Amino acid sequence: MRRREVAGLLVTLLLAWLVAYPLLLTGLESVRAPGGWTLEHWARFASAAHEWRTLWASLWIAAASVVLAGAVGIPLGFVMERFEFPGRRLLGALAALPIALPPLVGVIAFLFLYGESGFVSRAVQAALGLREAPWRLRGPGAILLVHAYSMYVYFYLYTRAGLARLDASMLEAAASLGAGRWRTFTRVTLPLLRPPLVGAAILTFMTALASFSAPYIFGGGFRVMTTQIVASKLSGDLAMATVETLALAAVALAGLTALRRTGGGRDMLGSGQKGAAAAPRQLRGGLPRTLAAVAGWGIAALLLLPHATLLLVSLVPPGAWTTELLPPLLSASNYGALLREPERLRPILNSLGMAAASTIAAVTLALVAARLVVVGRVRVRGWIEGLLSAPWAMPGTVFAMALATAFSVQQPWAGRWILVGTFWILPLAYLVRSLPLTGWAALAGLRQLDPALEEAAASLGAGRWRTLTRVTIPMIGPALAAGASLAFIMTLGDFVTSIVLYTYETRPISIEILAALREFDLGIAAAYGICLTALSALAFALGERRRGERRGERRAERREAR
Amino acid sequence: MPFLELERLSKRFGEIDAARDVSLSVERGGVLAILGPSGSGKTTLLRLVAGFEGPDAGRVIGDGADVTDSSPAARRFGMVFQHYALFPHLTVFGNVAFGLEAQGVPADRIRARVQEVLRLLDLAGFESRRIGELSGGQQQRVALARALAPEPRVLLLDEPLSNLDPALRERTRKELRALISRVGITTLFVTHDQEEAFDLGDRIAVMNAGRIEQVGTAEELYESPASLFVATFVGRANVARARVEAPPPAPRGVGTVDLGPVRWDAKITGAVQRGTPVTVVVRPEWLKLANGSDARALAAVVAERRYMGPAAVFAIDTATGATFEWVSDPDAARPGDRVSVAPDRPVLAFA
Repeated sequence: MRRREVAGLLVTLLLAWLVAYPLLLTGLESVRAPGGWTLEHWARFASAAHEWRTLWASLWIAAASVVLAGAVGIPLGFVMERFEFPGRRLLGALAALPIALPPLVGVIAFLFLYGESGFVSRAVQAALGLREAPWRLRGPGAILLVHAYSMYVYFYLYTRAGLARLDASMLEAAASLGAGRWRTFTRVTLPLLRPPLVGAAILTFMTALASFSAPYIFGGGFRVMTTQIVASKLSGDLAMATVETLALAAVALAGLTALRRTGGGRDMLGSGQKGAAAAPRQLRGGLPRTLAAVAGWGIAALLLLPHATLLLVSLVPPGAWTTELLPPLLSASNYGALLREPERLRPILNSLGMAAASTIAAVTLALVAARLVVVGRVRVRGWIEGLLSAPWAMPGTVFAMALATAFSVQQPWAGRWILVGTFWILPLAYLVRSLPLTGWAALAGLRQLDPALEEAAASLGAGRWRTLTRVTIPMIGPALAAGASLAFIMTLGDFVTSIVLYTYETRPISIEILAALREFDLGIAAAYGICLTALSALAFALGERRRGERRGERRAERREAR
Repeated sequence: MPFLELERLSKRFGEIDAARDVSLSVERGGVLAILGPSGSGKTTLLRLVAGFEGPDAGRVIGDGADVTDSSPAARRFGMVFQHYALFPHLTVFGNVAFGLEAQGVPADRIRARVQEVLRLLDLAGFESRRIGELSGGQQQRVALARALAPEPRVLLLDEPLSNLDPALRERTRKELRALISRVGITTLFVTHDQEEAFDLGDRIAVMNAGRIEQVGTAEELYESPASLFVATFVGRANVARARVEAPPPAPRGVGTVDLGPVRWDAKITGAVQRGTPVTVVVRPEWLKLANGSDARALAAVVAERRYMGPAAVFAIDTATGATFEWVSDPDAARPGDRVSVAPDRPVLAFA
């Protein structure tokens, strides 16, 4: 009993050192002057009009992203869940595609597609006979376009999941009480969907607030806080960067709290134990079916265009494509360069190695921590859970800055070592950023695990290790795999943390994409993007496969139960 | 010498006493049922025996050895969980072989033993089935097979039949009784179902609020309950207030109680003297039609008749003011009839 409590304290300390301590040090750094304390940096921040403008820009971009992503994702979710038409299953899967596109890769795909010399711009220019590109992909509009494309997925997936869990008998009850379709929708369906929709809104808001790639590439003179922090750091004004970091963290926390307030309380979808979701309505008649199919395939084409563009550009050899509408020559030479040239291959190996190492560490730490919370029920379990989730509430830039501040000093007695500029800082940062995803997966998995299963194993003579490897991990494996694959994807494609902390030797793929873009090696940049996307999709598929197996089993169980 | 012994076990969860000073023993090959309402602490007691919880005080002794501090694995007590806790990621074979594998039994012997146990439970041919593909009754049998395969010293059953539908429950109960006697294993099981406890247990321990109220055979519990709780929890009981008219000559002997309109002989439990208020318990089938002139005859009006086939259950409003249940011949009376009833043996009274 006591050993468990000691373990709980040790894990809490480790998590606090990783998560809370760097933020605390950043706070101290923002009020430090040579040989004393000062509020000068805060005063400088407060009196600068452009700082407030930047903070406001972060906030309204995030809010507008929520509105746009909801406007696309919610209707799409309804259509896919409620109507049956040819190609529905394939379209449903395609619509989730942007989630497997690393942010920076999505951004460069948009650049190749809608940028001044992108395909669509050139096509429009040629079609209308214009002398210049019809538009410039710059500023807030461009950022919001990318956000809407990559973040509607949250609303789409949450809407579909919510509808799938909505008991059809509730809709039937409303109908039998005389409610029409509209009344049922506004009085029953929407209120019940509120918690998942608020969840999607929170996810979108936090992602948009933390977004770095889109503002960095498309922002131009328009700055949001994430890009502003990096700019301050690069210009050497570290004190201002720490103040900006804390300001962004405060906005993130305030936004999160405010959105939680509107949460509409408990999730009520799970309260009905029995009951099945409404079956999708078959669209009848030639015209509706044709319209649905055309609209569906139109959407699919729109969704696939960035991926297709990226693939096409990656096949263009350097210098082969100048003013033509379509590239005159295609070859795999860019991919050959990535594999042949050690300096080009290195970022891929770096990313794979660091993502794998940090994911394994994050899963292990999450599993230990979650077991102490769920099974051990240690006294500090609230702290452990809070610390596991905390990195999620902070934009990646905030954590990158905090780690850069904490580990740029050699003070072993204070738990600080010089890690900035070494190999270790990036995997450490990835580990911290992976903790929420792996932690939630482990907590959810263990909470759903019937404790009697572990007891059964023990009473059958299995020791701790055997119980863990033969029962616990196989049972929560699917949840853990899903969390791990999401963490792996996030760290593999990470740009926002890396740009603050990378060294030349440990540069990841994203940094190399940026370097290639700067040198106008568009083909190389695209080839990196395709590699990153393919690796992410592979990790996503592996994570989902484990879950799919379990889902298949449960379906079989349900069938049997009937 | 008892094979399984619980010595003054106590366990508290915060303010709640889940087990208070519980002492019980089971002979080798004996079957002890722990019967109690939900929340009485019976499942906690079983978990203390299994080793999933540690007692605050007291000891668990198995085959002469103190196992109180042993891990569940080291005790070699087989357990069947209420919801079976079968491993959904393993097949039937994988589940049943699990305990043998943990013991390091060679593969060929595992195979043979699993086949043997599956045959015993009428599950031959189910080896490669997934748990999700089995019916509730089959899952229950797999859970038993899994617990029995490693040849445990004691079998622990937590509400073994509560997850089955009523029709299946009776048949499974018979099979379970036959199986336990064939295997000859020392068994401890908990249930809230009196019929299950009566049918399966050689002896029954009635538990209430963490305490054992009485241990005995089904007949002892029904005919001579040691407390008002046992009297009313086990079997149907009519309850009325009364005063002691004549204390019994010896403790738990027969005295007389005054119910107001009548005086009845009663086996009185507890220290009483003349005038002590007591609660009287009368079983519905102890009441017989009586001659109105009989001094023991209690006047009543039939309020309701429920026909049950071989007998009828009447609700009668008696002159004591209490409504009694009375089991008799279906033709004994009609609603609205005035009747007189009297017990055919001394009733029960508790101070």
